[in-house]
Amino acid sequence: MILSVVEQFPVLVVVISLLSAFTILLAGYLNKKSCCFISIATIFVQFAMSIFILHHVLTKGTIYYWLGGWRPPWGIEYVVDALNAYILVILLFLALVCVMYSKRNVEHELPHKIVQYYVLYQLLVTGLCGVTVTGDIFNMYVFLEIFSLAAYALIASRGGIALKASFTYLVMGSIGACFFLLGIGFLYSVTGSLNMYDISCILKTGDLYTNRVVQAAFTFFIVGLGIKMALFPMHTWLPDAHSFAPAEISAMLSGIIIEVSTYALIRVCFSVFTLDFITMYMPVTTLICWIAAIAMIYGSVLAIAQYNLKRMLAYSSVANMGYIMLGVGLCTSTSLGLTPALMHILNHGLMKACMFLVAGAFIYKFDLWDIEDFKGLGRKMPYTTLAFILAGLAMIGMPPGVGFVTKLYLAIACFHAGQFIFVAVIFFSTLLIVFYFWRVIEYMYIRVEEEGETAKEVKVEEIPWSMLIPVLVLGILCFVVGVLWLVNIPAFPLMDIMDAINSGLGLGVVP
Amino acid sequence: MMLVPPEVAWLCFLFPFAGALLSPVLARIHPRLRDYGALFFSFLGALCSLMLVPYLFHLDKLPLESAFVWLTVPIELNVGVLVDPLSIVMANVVAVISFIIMVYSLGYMKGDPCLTRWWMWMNLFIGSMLLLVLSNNLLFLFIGWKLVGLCSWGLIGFYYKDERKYWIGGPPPTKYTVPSHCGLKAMVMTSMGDVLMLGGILIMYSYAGTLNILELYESSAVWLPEMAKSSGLILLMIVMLLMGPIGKSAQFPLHEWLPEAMAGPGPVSALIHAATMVKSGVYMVARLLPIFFYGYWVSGCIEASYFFIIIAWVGAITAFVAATQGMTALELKKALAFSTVSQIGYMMLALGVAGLTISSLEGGFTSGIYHLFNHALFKACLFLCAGSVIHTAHSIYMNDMGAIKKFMPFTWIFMLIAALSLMGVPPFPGFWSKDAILASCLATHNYPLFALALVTVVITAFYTTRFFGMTFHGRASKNMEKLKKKGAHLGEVHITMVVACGALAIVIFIFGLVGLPLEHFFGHGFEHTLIEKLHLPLEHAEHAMPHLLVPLLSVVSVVIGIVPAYLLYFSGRLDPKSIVENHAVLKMLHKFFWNRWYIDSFYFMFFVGGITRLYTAVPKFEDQLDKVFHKIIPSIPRRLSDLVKYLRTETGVLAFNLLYILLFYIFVLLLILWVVWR
Repeated sequence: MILSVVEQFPVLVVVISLLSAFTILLAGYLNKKSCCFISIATIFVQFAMSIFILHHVLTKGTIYYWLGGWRPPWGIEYVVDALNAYILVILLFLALVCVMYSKRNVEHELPHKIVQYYVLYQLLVTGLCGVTVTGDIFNMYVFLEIFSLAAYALIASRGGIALKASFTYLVMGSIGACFFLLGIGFLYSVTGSLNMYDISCILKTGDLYTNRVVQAAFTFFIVGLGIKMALFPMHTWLPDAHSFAPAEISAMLSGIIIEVSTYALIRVCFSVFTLDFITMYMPVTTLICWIAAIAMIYGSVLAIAQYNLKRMLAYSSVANMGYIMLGVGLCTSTSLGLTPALMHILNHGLMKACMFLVAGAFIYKFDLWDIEDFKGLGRKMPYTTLAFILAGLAMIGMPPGVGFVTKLYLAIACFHAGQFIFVAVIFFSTLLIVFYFWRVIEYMYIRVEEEGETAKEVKVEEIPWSMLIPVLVLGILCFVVGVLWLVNIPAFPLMDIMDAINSGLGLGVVP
Repeated sequence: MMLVPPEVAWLCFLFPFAGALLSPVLARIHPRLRDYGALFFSFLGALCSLMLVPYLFHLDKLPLESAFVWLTVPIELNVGVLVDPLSIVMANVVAVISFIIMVYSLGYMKGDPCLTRWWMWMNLFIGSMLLLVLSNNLLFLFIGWKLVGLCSWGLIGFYYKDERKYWIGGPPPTKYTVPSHCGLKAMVMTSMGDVLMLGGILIMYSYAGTLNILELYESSAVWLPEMAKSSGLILLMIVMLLMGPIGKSAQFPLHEWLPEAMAGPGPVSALIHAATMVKSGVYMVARLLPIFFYGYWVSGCIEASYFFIIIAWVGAITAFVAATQGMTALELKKALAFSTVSQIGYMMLALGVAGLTISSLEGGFTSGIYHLFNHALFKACLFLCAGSVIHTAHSIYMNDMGAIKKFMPFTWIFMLIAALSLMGVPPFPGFWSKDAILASCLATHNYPLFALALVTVVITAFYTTRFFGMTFHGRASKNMEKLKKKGAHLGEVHITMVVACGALAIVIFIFGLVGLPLEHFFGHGFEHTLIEKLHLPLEHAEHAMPHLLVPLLSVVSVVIGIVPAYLLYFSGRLDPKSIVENHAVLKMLHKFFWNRWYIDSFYFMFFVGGITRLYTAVPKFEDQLDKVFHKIIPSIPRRLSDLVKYLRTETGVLAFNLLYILLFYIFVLLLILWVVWR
């Protein structure tokens, strides 16, 4: 089997990341400053590879890579189709932005743990990439654990109360992983295979859809991955973990880690189990829709009640996971397929990463956590707050921001599916979003500390360039990507990717 | 002749938009750069639209579209420009005249502290009007349409501080009106029509499935009969669609905003009346006309004929009503404003009669648009001259002027040319187009319409002579005497203003001389699009009436109008006031016209008064509302988070978290068991 260069990339993306983690460990003992640059360089190379992968997948078709030359179903197979490639690009882009931002922030926040931080960060990226590219369900579990463990450690890195948050996440995450592993075990006991494609074939040909064990396995997957992705009643680890982690890790957690778990769920639902199973034998889509709707309202309402910005953003993430899951739940009954859900994975990643990085900037510069302390920040940090406003407006749904695009497409999907109630939910949750983001903006710009303050010339104290640029880039992308979703530009064929994914999974055709 | 690619049409409106955006930037560099920069961008816009003119000589290539796909989901939407004879003519009228007005405003607005705002609004106004006329789909047309409305609000209320010197209306006992009020009035009244028009567009979309204008034309044979199956729907759509043009073009019954629209600076009035805003309604009617013409005469949908009947009658009535009000106006610009309403009525009448018989399509369409073209020229000139006169006389009232001719000889001659054109004196352009409208009106044998139009010609001649006489001739007023005594500068105004007026006057004169060929040229262009490209049926009109009858009638009517007005206001032999006082009937009529047929008062009483009454009722419930909005609703999140604390979901206590996971797992399991065993 002769492979072109690009077809080697899926495994390289994982391997060089893993190798760089150990390199950093070694290099860090020689020179602490080199860690960050090695990490940036690695992730940049990975990001470039992921773009080649995406291009290859779109033009030439799915990439199959057999690890060690072992044929599936015995060997581990890496399969990259449009869905993986799309998630991979988003993931590595956000990782790149966050690692750039982290240089100064880590020096400031964790001066004694720089080496450890970057090693773990690199392991985190390795795990995320691994989950994304693999075509083997057990391998997926392994990578899921790798990135989860890295994330537990990174959340705990600040010490103090973060340790408790990390512990909660550790316990709950492990339970989630257990459920996932149990699901794999159940499936293995029935099918005797771990390769996803193989399992789905056996399930279909063996007429195993009505098998109790298979159905129980499916339940385990839903609950297990539901914990990992903070689906509504199992999100309780998320607010603490998000608010006590360092800024970049919060951004990664909210922007991509829970989304990668969502990807895993989508993969399990549509590639291991098939569309037929979900629509005919195990109609969970309605359940997912309703849970999502509750999450949208619940997360937003609790976000309003928060005083801590990062905590508020964390609850907003719960609400946004609701948006993504609503898209997943509706996908079988609309011709848009998974488009709304997948587009929100990108959109939410951009918006939420931007906001968490901004929140981190406030902490970096003035050690401000609470929204009520933000008085006058708009004049002190004009560019940072500008980025926040861009992301906030996009989140609220101002056209042509990314949030608007998601809501538009979700609403269309609801109309297609005839579920008008969810349109009302989207509108209502939008109102709530306006409420809690506008409050922040009001404190930053409109409420000034004292009467005399307005007249005084305020000294601009911006964060360093290496932090400001990632923040601004994300803020601006919130609107650029929104336009790209709406206007089909050949260089950024976002809609073509969506079409490729939907046709690959057999979605987008209303039965 | 070289033909430019149709993409140039994009630049027509993009340049003014760019100018509007750049104004604040340029203002930072140097104020003069901002002024000339704004001028330059509107010049580029005008240049681009002039570059489209050669297409009129190569009609085979039209209509052209340049579009790109904007949205594919949920509906396919193309954004683009449409280049056809109608849009070329409109774009040139808008862009070129706007440019001349911009030149004029360089002098007029000199020294105003808010110039940046001024240039931004002006360029935005021009750009949105060009977007409106060049857009190839109704959605973007509507966006331009609303932007025009927004700009008119900003410009009419430009003196938003409402200083005493900018008040209009009066003199007491008539109320004064402040500019910000006038701006709001224009916005509210036109928006009423706009919203209805949007409704009409949506009805059309739901049947036609497209918003692209050319596609609408092509598929009208399919969707209009489909629509005709539900009776009354086409009529509803027509009425809703027409409310937009009626509001925007200040037609009866939504004409009441335009007389107040002159509260803005002089150039704004010129822009609104001549080039932008009010012309958009006529354009819209002309745009929609082929659809309904085809529907009525080819597909045989009877209801489609209401389009023409409504618009013809609305036009004729408006022309008459507004002209009568013009006879009594005391403010120079208000007299001109009434005349605009009346003249737009003529255009609407012409477009209406275009569909009343099968043979009048070309005549009606051409004469309507040709009159629009001419009216834009002479009304711009009249308003610019009026601005100059007001500048010199320091008063908006005509009875504060008088005998200004000797101070402003150039303005006098320019305004004379424009006024003669407005009256319809041969060989000025107004004569040709008005004559064409009367002829096509007569050709439909609809005599009431023709009679109304003819009477309006008489009245037009009367009020035109009146305002011209009161301004430039007659006896010098007390105000002028006073100014002279004070030693105020009485004479020609800033050079750019004179040049702008002069340029327009010369253009009017030249176009008057070539009036008939020009009309045929227009007619040929429109005929080509309507008949050969859109396949509308054509029958050439048989001239039942002698050729000379209509011109003769028209000239006689003009003379009938001029003579009494000359005696009253030029020679000064008769005193108009005492004549009115002595005749009870005349006095009553004067009062009726002066109060604008009481329409405005009625609207004010009904809408403004009614709403005022409504909101005075609110304070009674204030406490309850306050409680709901400021106490109960904001307390919901807090209550919920209290509840959550009570349930201990968000405390971070691990035991509870795990409990919830377990509960959820059991819930899912039970649910699935239920589904499986059902």
